[in-house]
Amino acid sequence: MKLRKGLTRRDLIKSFGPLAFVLLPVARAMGYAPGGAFKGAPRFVMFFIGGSYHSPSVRPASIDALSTTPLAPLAPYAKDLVVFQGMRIHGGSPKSDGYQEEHGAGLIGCVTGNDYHYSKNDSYYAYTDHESIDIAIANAYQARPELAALPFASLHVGGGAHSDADNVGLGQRYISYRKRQAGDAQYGNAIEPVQNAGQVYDQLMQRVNLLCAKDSNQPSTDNSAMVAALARKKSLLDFRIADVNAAKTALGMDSEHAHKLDGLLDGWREVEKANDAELAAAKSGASGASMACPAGARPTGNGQNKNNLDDLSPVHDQMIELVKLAFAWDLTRVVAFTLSGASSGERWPSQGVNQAHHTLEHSNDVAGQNIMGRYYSEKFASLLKALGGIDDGDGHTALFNSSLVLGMECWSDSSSGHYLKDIPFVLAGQGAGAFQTGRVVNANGRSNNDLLVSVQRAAGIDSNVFGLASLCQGPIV
Amino acid sequence: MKLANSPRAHACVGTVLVLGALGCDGQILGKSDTSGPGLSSDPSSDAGPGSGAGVTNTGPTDDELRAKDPGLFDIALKYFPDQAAAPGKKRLFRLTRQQLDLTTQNLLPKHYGVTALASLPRDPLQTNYEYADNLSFSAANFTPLTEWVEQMTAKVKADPASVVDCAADKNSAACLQTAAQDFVRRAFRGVASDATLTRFSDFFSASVAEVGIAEATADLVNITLTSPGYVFREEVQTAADQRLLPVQLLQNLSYTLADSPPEAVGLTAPAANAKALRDSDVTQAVEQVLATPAARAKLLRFFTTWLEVKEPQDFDLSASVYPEFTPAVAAAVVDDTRRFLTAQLGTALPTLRDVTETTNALVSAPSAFLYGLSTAPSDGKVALDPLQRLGIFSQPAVLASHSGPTTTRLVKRGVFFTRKVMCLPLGAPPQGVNTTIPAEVMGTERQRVESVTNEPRCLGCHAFINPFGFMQENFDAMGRYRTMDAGQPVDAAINVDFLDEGPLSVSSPVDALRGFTRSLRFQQCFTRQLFRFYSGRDETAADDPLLRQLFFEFAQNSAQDIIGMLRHLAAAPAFNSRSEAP
Repeated sequence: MKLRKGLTRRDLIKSFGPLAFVLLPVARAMGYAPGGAFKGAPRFVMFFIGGSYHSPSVRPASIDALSTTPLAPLAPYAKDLVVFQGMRIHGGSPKSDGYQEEHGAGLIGCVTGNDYHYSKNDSYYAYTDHESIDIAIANAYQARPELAALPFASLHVGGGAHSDADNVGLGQRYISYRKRQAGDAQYGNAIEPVQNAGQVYDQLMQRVNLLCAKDSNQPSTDNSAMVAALARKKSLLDFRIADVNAAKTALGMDSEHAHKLDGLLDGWREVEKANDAELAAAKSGASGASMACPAGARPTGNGQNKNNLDDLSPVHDQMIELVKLAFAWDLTRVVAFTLSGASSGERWPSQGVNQAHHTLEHSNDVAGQNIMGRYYSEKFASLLKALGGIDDGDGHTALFNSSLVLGMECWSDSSSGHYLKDIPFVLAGQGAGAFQTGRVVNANGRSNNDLLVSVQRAAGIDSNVFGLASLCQGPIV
Repeated sequence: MKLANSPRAHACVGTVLVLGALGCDGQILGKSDTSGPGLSSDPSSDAGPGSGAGVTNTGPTDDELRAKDPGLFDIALKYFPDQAAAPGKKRLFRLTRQQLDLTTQNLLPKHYGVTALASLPRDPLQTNYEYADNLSFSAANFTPLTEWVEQMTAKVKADPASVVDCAADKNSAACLQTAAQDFVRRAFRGVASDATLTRFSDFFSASVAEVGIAEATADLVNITLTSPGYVFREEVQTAADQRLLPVQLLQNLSYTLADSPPEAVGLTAPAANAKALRDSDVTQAVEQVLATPAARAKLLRFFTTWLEVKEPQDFDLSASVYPEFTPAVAAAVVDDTRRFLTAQLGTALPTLRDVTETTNALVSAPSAFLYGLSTAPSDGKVALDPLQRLGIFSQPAVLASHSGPTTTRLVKRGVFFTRKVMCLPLGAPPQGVNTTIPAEVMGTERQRVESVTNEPRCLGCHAFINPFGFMQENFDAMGRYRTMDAGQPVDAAINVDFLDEGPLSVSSPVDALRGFTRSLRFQQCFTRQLFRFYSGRDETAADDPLLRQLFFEFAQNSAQDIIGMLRHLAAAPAFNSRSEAP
């Protein structure tokens, strides 16, 4: 996608004078205004790959020694990385209130740093009451006036987002959680990722089309029909939202039954937000004109219910392009990207890996694990490359203005352990200047909570705790 | 004026069970409108939560069961020991994709085309079941829902009279109001307050003035099909005795048993002033629903879901190791099993034995080689070698669903049997246990597994898992019968001692399957699984009294009467009552 400098919000106000206030929704939706200089509030990505890398294979002596590890595809980005060694999840042992196992602990610990429960004594029945880091950051951004009107508070995308045994229980499927509300069902606070790339594309392009420059040489046309159609859509949306709220009221607004309708309500509110922005743009006749409209075909990949990386690879590639699109147009600042659940059932037949990753771990198939490890590194590198291709202005790219966590759960070695220690987390991007990258950091047994603290501080959340306070010492980078 | 109904609805007129007339002379427990305000109403007008009175479980008492068969009753009590019955908790149940399809097909037969099953992503499954707790809307399925509805409403716009036809009344305001309300009431399966209906019809009338009848009708359909009143059904409104209000109860029956709205299975909503339904009305409604093809279709879905039969594209067999298992073969084995189940469950009184103990199967040309046949007979019917195969558990679709990608995955097959077929508790491997089969261990798959599971700390679980896996070793990963594995004879002999009938010592898969599927443990597990699937939730201790009755009647005299169990389940007061969670 070609980038060029264009209108910032300030430009908009300068150009349109008092009319700019009419365009306020557009301006706010533009955030920093794509193409303009990026300001503060770094983007955040949780890039969750499921089972950990084979930990002993990922112990580079320095950041320049990645090429002999499964992180090799990340070597070109070494200066943008912090590779952790000796980092733990949950302090090395599950922090549940009863039954304990490490797959649920690994996933939930990775994204929340917090404790959790099991509804049955089985690894597939883990669940949590606590907020994940992506949601915490998204909520914090929503509370900031300059970011509140971002089209999407957070994006939750993926491909292969399930464990090897989703048909047992859902405890190892989700990487994003909001805080539990009274009456939530067991997984009522979990957020299902969208695995259909076309669906994500449609969602994003609806907003991009409001912002992009179509053909600025064309004389303005009569768009009264479009305004009327959007106004009609707005009245339908008003009716729908009132309809859902009436149902919630009937059920007791704060009851668990009413909460069950929140997904429907959230969906309509998202549509309303988009429609309002479109209506404002149509009324003003503004076309954004900050960057050229992206060209390209609608992607068709769907990662649902797939565990073969030969099938998932194009889906992951498409999702990476969509994350780039979202960031380039400042449609969101937070992305959760699920490449697998915990106890990963993924395999890679074309590379001779016919066993599920989970099986590879417990079979001490180090070669197989490392082949798959390289796959996840390649995809993470693709994401870094994509972000590196976004010009944020002021000499920086989106990679500089982002914090990306390459997350994972427990690992296993030849004796079939489930280890929550020595997890090779990777932090990428400079968090808009918050992080000194290009190094290997020995965590010396500190928990990933401190990594989450680091990214939340970069996001402007002034706290030295994320998740269980007992696991936090403060930012680690 | 007329409201254009579906042909199906008209066809049902002659056979509907008019519950409003049959059973509404009991004590009225709520306000006069027992259709309830539903999902979009004034909460002050509802019948309110139940009084908290306990649910009386009708049916035979424990004493009566014990008198009939003391030994069986003791086993029933062992599996389902709790005494205090309580209804399931109140809940909002989002229609499953299957239910959305059948409901929409009934409501808009001319415009329904693309299925919800194809349009909406699969919902998260728990133990392979669609549980009410996990069914909701999110960013993943919201847009697909709206797009699915959108393509139907586009068709409505081209033919609005198929939904609202007031041409004869010159589109009078009164006619439009009435027609809109009739459509919404029908779409909401009778659960709509007057205020809700007025809200929709007022919006519709205003829309007609604003955008004309065609677009207004399309919009009416759109806002209706995406409303909570359409995509959810509520099990929240109850009478004082905790029984669901009549309209909600009918939905519970029709969706539970047939995935269909009441109207589609010939049930009409009670009159607006209907009172609580009598037990006899409920029984009659259950019979009516169970007699429909939709109920049998759901029963088939239960079996394929319970047994985790994969969709053809989801099989996990490596093409390099099993090149014969082509997509065509995968499709054939699944279709064979579905046709088999349709035939076995399509009789008047199907039994579980018809499914588990028959030596007949349906085979097709692509799958014939898996049975050692060079071709399939024209009608597909094959009498299998009774020394090699027995019932559904020896069918390739079931076996291959739990195999692969490169081996029979003996332990995985065993875990499936342990958890899902026999309902034996199973935890995760203990800490520090080596679950690896060393590469240097040669021999049959059984020998390899035994080499690492024969230590005491493993046998807590593997004493159950292994026999179930070993007994299936005569079937390769595709489900083809074999006698050799890795150049050595297959040893399918097992000895177990966890059945109520005593030790089982057999040496063939057929004898093992016969022993297991005749066991009471298997039948109690079947009872649980059927309850979970149809109830959309796990059982609790408070369900034990009902489950005890279901199991006893199912197992007594080896009846294994599946329809009888569904009849008892659906008519049970506890099944049709709800209370707030404790």
